[in-house]
Parts: sequence; C-alpha cells; structure tokens
Amino acid sequence: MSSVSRAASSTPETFQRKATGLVREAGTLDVLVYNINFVSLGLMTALVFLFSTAFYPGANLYLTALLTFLLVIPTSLVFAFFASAMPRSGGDYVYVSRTLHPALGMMSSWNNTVWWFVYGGVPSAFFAQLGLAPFFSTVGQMAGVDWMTSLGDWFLSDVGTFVAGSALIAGLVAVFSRSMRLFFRIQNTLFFVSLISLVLTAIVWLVRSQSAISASLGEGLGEGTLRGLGQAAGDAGFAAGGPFSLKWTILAGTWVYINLVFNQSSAYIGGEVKRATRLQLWSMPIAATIAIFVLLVLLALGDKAVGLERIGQLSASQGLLFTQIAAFGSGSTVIAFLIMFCFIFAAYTWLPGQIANASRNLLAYSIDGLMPKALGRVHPRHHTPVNALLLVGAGSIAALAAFVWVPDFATLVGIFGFILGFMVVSIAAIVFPYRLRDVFEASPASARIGGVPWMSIVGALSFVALAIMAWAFLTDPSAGLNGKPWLIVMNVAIFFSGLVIYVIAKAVQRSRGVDISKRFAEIPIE
Amino acid sequence: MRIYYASDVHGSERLWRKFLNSAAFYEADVLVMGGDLTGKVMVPFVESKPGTWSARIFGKDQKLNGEDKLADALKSVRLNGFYPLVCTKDEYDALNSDPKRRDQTFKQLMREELGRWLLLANEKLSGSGVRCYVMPGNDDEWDIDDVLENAPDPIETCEGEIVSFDGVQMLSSAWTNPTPWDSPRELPEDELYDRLARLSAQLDADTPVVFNLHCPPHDSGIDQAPQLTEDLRVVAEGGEPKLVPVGSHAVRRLIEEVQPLVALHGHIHEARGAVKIGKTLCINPGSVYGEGVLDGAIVDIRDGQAMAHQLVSG
Repeated sequence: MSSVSRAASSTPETFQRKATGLVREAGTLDVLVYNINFVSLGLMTALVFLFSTAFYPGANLYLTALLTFLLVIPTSLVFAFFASAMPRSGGDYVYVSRTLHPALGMMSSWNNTVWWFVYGGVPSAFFAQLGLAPFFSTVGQMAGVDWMTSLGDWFLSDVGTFVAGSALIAGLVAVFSRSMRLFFRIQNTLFFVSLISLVLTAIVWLVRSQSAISASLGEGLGEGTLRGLGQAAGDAGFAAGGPFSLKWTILAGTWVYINLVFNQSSAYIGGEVKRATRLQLWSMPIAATIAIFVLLVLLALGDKAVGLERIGQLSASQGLLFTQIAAFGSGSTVIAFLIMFCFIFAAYTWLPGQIANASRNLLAYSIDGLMPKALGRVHPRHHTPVNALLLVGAGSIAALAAFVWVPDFATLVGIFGFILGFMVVSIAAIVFPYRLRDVFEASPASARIGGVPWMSIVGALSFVALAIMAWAFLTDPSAGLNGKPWLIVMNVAIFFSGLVIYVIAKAVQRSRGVDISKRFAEIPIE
Repeated sequence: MRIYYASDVHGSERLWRKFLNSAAFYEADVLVMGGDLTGKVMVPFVESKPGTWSARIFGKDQKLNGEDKLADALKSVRLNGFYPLVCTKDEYDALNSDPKRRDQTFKQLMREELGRWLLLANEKLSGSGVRCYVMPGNDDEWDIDDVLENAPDPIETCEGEIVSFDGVQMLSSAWTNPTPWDSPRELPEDELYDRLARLSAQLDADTPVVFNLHCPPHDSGIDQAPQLTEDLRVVAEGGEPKLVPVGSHAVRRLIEEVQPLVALHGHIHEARGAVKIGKTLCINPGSVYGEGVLDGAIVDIRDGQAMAHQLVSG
C-alpha cells in the first residue's frame, strides 16, 4: 500500500487508501449541458410561442411557465434522488426493477423505449418544419431569393418533411454507429450555436421599439397581412386573451411540460464517475430552473416588443415561429439569417437523445435475455449497438411517416404514455427508502423531515403532479388525445405491453434453463 | 454444472454475504470470486467520552451513545464496504499524524475482516457440496494472501493455479496490466503474457478450460473505462465520461491462443457485458459494490460446452 490519505477536521475523518477506481468526477457543467440539451430550450420556446400564445383563452403564460415548472420539479427530483442513490445504474429500468419488480421495470422502461421510437418521428419532422423551412422561407423572402422561398415551401410539404427527416435519422444512425460520444460532443457545440438564435432574438426584442418591429414585420410580411391579422387569426382558431382562466393557464403548460420533464436525462448515463455528490443531485432541477428562466425572459421580451397576443395571432394565422417574428422584426437580412440558421440546430434536439436512449435500452434488454441476442450485437471495433441503432432508425422513419401522413398523430399524443411510466418511477421513489433501506441510508438522498424520507415525499408529490399533467394532456384540445379514445387506448396498451414481453421472454428463457426473474432479484444477506 | 462468478466486492460485507448465498439462490455448483476483495476506506469511531463515540459515516457526522448504537453503526459500515476502527482520541490522533501507522492499521483491519469473512463462508457453505474458489485481485495487498491460503473448507484459493472440477480446468490470475493507481499486482504487458503463458502451458489439452482472469482482454468491449487525465480527472465528452479500452493485450492474446470455453473477468466495474473472442465467451459482470448490489454471471457448462449464460444483479 503506497499511502493512506486523510483530511484535516475536528471530527474524525475517514481514511482512504490509494486504490484503483478512485477518480475525480466529471464536471457538473457537462451534466448540466446534457440535461438542458434534453430540455430543448429552443423547441420549448418555439412551441410555447406557436401554440400556448394562440389557443388557450385566458391563460397567463408567465403563470403557465411557473406552474409547469413546479409540476416538473418533483419528478425531476425523483430521478435526481435515484441517480444519486444508484449512480451507476441509470434509468427507470433499474430503479423500478430493483425497487418494485423486474416485470414492472421492464414495463416502465419498454413504455419509454416505444415512445422514444415513436417520438423519433416528431423532431425529425420538426427539422424540416421548424428548422429548414422557416430558414429558407424567411431569408428567401427578406433577401428576395425565390429559390430559397420555394425550397422552404418544399420542406413544409409532406414529401419534403419526410425526405429531410429521414435523411436526418439515417445520418444520426450512421454517426451513432461509429461513435455516439463523438456526436454528443458535436451536438453540445451545436447547442451553443442554437443559443445564438435565442440570444439574437432576445436582443432584437430588447433593443428595437414596438413600432420599429411592427414596421419591419409589415415590410417582411406585407402590410395587408398585418391589417387583416385579427380576422385571419380568428379564422385559424386563435382563442387567446380574455379574462384569466386557471384551467387554460394549466393546459397551456402542456407545451412547456413536454420539453421540461426530460431534464432528467442524465439519469440514463451510467458510469462510476457519476458519483453521488450533492451537487450531482441538484443538476437535474437546476437544468429545469435555467430552462424556465430563459423561457420567462423570452416571454417578457416578446410581450414588450410585439405583444403576446399579437405573437399568438401571427402564429395562428401565418404559422410563424417566434424566431421568424424576430427575424422579420429585425429588419436586417444578416441578423435574420443568423437567427434562422442557428435555430435549425434547435429544431430537432429531441431526436439524438431519443435514438441514443432507445438503442441503449434495446441493448440492455438483449443482454438481460428479454430481447433477441441479435439486438445486443455490438460493433467489434466501434463498440456501438449497431443492430439496435438500425432498428431504432427504421422505427423512427416509420413514425415520421405516421406523423406526416396520419392526421390524428399529433405532437403531444405520446406524452401521456411517458407520464404513465414516470408514475411508476414515482411509486418506486415512495417505497425505495423502505424496500432498499441500506442503499437509501448510504446515499446523499437519505435526508428526512419529521422522520419521513424526502425521497418518499418527493415521490408522492411527483405522482400528484403527474396526475395533474395527465389530466391536462387528456383535456387540452391541442394535445390530440381529447375526443380520440383509440389514442388513449394505444397509450395504455403500450404501457402494459412491456409486461407481455416480460412474460414471453421469461417462458422462452426458461426453456433454455435461464430464469430471467432472477435478473434483478436481490440475494438475501442472512 | 453451474458456475456463479462475481468480482470486485471491495470490502462490502453485504456483497460477500450475498456471494455466499448465491449458490443456493442461483442453484450454482461452483462459486468463483474473481478478486479485489478488500475495501478502500477505514472509518474511525473515536470514543469521545465513556460510552459515546463520534464518527463520520457516509459523509455525515454522527454521535453514538451506547454500545447498541455503536454495534449497529459498525455493522452498517461493514455492510457498505468500509472498515470500522474503534479507537480512543489518542489512538486516532496518532493515526492522523503518522502515515506509516495508518498503513499498518489498515492492513491489519483488512486481514482481520477477511479472516472473519472466510469463517462466515465456512459456516454458510460447509457441507453444502458447493465448491468456492476465491482469489485476490490487482487491488488487494499482498498481506491478505496468507489469510486466503489458510482459508477453512470449502474455500480454496486459486491465484496462479489451475484447479479442476466437474470435468473442466480453471486457470486463475489476479494480475493486470499497469493502471494509473500503481496497484500491488500489475505487470507490463510482455511480462504479464509470460506469466500467463507459463501457467497455461500446464493445462491439459483434452480437458475443457475456463479462464478466471481478473483483467479483461483489451478492446473487447468489456474493458471500457473512463479515460483519465494525469491528475486522475475523468475526461468527459458530450456530458458523458469518455470511455477507452484499458484491458490487457496479454490476456487477449492468451484467450486467442488457448480459446477456452469461457473467460471470466472483473476489474473494470463499468464494462459489464458478454462478448465472443473466437470461440471463447468472455464475461465481465461488472461491479456496483457501492450500491449494495452484487453483479454476477451464471454460466451453465454441460458436455464440455458453455450452454447458457446470464448476467444477474443481486
């Protein structure tokens, strides 16, 4: 033994010998960026300005943002507590399997995996609809370049959206097959590039007067468009404004929630290096806090510079993104180019994480005998799960086709399914301190109030918050579930399909002499 | 015949107890513990006044009043992979100011705790018909070797040996290629290969072979560990630790040459998985000893073939 280290203190310190594996942890900044990236600041802001400003009568969007934040935080903390108590495990598959039952772990995890597949279709469509098309249309219109405007129109068409989205999915699968980490390094850089779009939008709204922006909008869109805006918006279903309504204020949060709730994505990163420090514990809620702060600032600036009601009218009648409103409002083609070009990298940000997480899960199922071995094939040189990636890619392209050509498949239809999965994780959090007492006691999440573990309290709050959001998604007319019982049935069926897979896999493996129920079953210590 | 393999328990008595119970739990005939048995942290319990002890447990300062509270805390500390040391204030101060004394005390605790573990194994497994092979890993001090060699039945130490059971022969080695921590049992790749090749030369050519090598083969996917800077800081890319292959070229070469049925490995905790190198099934069950969970691998061998395997987390 070469040395035993100690730290000076008035209380007895522990002594640590020099041994393998003792490393300094990765920076919290890295984890923060990863989580904020998953929140998709740009997309969240775009969807809030596009829909929440237009179709929620009596909604106070500042309150919407704050209430949604409060509803997300307990779920965020549930994942944060779990990630600090089981730092190397990563994700609800292990949390639920160990705490409740392997079958429930599979059910919860499979539910997420399916929705990650399905949601592969949404951001890949956004790539064309919210990224490429607005870029070419806006810049083409402002610079008077017809081919750009035409190209923008093509990207908005069904075929254009499908081609661009498919190319993005195929490209990501190809890159991930070589190295997922390389991509995320690039994506983190692109994340900062996409922030340029938000920063420039904020600057335009901050420094230009309302009249100057209105004049520039008139030039860009045509004075006739602005004069008939109220009528056109009304015809398009614009319904914002009017007396305050708490119900619509909550419902408007669906567009915030679908982004913000994924601030816990670093829970899926394994690795001994993600040590259970208290700082790590807070990285997820901090990511949510930063994201909601940025949204509030942009709402306030948009309100001051254009007016939220007018933004809602422009969104409803023209389908204009907030970035387009800022781009046109800037009166400068160069600034418009920068705003719209940089926003392309914000338009699809859900997609890489979804592909990565879904393929990681498929790999884990295969290793555990819950899926065919072929899915667990890892490239001998690059160590990437190539077959799982190909399957996720194919599934995402199929989902993209559904999103483009099946009218009932709206952006928000699957979040209800995610909520069901998060509810199971919340239940696991409630009972975790009692079922895995020693793991809990040894973790930084072991704090209590009045003898009750914070983790249990947070789990219960998360469950209630999720129930409220489940109600919101079932009630919100824009969410796509209201009045479509078959979509609700599909959500519930997907939720329980993991159980079916578990039962089938158990029978198949039993015939080979393998008992998969032992996969996560705890060995007694006495 | 069913083998249950686990490794890298790093002083966690909880995991050791689980390992001993794993034979009954997974219906295994043979248990193999693949090294890195000893813990990394010593927790002093300083008697501040008669019947009262203070200690820092899991990062929290605690005052323990009475023998019962102390006993509970000692048990909890042991179960979680730390070595408790009950001492007076003077003894603690002496340890605090004298690195050599700390080293000696740590080693003594390791030996005592391991001795207790082996007696526990004797109680649990004696008469069960289960064979239990235990070896140190690269991280274990030399001081524990004689404790293992004098282990009571049915524990057998197997480091640097070839042992036979149920129609297979198992070659075991605790040694690894160099690590950033300069642990006790490390060798440069060429010397490691020579050591392993000398051992493999003793294998019977007609009997199926199992490797029990603490270090996994290089660039096999079950040897991926975070890249570190010179000051042992983790290199992160895209918010995640950058993983690089750190396994042994010598181990890989030996596997490619001998092509055993199965190669069982530990050492790299985060590289859980099973891969094929030629005809050999190479398994690293990983380790999450800090979470109180025993990661292991079940391997069924029948008629000289590896019929099935499963990674389990108990």
